[in-house]
Amino acid sequence: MSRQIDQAELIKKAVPIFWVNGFRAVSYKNLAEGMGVSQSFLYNQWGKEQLLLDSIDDYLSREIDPFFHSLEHDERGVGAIRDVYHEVAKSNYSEEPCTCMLMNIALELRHDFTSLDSVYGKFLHDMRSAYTKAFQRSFKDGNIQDVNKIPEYVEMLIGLMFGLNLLLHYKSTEELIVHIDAYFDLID
Amino acid sequence: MRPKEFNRNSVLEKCIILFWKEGFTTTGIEKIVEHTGVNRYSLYQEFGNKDGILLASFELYQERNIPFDLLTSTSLVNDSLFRFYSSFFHPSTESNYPVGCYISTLAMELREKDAMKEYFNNFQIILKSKFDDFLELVPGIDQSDAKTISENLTFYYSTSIAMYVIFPIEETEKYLRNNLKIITKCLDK
Repeated sequence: MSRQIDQAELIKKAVPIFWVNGFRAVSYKNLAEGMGVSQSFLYNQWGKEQLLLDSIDDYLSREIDPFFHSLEHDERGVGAIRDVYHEVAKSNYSEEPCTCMLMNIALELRHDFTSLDSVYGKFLHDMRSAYTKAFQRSFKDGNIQDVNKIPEYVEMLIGLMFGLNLLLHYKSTEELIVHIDAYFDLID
Repeated sequence: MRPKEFNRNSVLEKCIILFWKEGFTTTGIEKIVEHTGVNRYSLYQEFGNKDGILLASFELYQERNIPFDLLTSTSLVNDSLFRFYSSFFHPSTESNYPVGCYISTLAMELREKDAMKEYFNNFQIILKSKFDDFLELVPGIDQSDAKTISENLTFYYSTSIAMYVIFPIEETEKYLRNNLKIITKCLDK
């Protein structure tokens, strides 16, 4: 049996553990139980940091890349982005992980892991490019007045998503939607 | 009364650095004893428990490190707001604090903790009232504009503090300026 396939399956099991709990609060014991392997295997053969990096890779390719891709091709342009923010606000965190795993990890670990720098770099590049395409579509449709303002709006919305990842745990869905709409109303 | 054997604030400052850099959950009381040089009994006597230390550390941080005094001059609204938000990216060298906001960082780590929820929600109410007071000073400001701006600024607190995580400081400050310009643009009318 191929070892690589095994690894891919194991990583898939590790993703939700990091997604829900973050990095620091996860122990080798949690991981071993969730992945169905021994603690000593994880400790000696993998390491928590490497497993996190592998989990992020898997998360990006399965969850994020398809999302950015669909956003780029969505006819609603900026409206499609707003819908995504509403979805995040509506999600019930206690039932399933709904915020962005990478943003959670970023907020927790900040610059502790230099190995994460290139991962964030690519993630932000892809996010920026998908949002920009959505804005350009809205501009073509006459819903954005000034094309030169698009980069500023894109950065504002990226920042908003990070803020949302924190406030989601503290505010009600209704409050969050009011705030999100107030931000989108600033775009003209 | 018996004088305390330790300086409360200097103990809290050490705890702030400890919790901020290493996390609250994984920091045990032994580590706090080791870093502060105060024994367990005295710590419990003063703060009750580990949560008590956390809340006292928030209070001290809020009092000393959230620069509400910058929200007084309204001649240049955006400049005052910019200086307020960007102060978190330039911690004073003597404090030894990391970049960012202690309260927001812990709010992310302790998002499932009730005491944290209560504190952070309350902190946002204080923030909003400070922004309200600040905007009230702006001559001729429309009441509903002031309300919207104040709400957006409060929400923006969590956003701005999160941004430095992903961008270098210069870039973060560039976005900060642009975002504040967008949030307050109805003042230009």
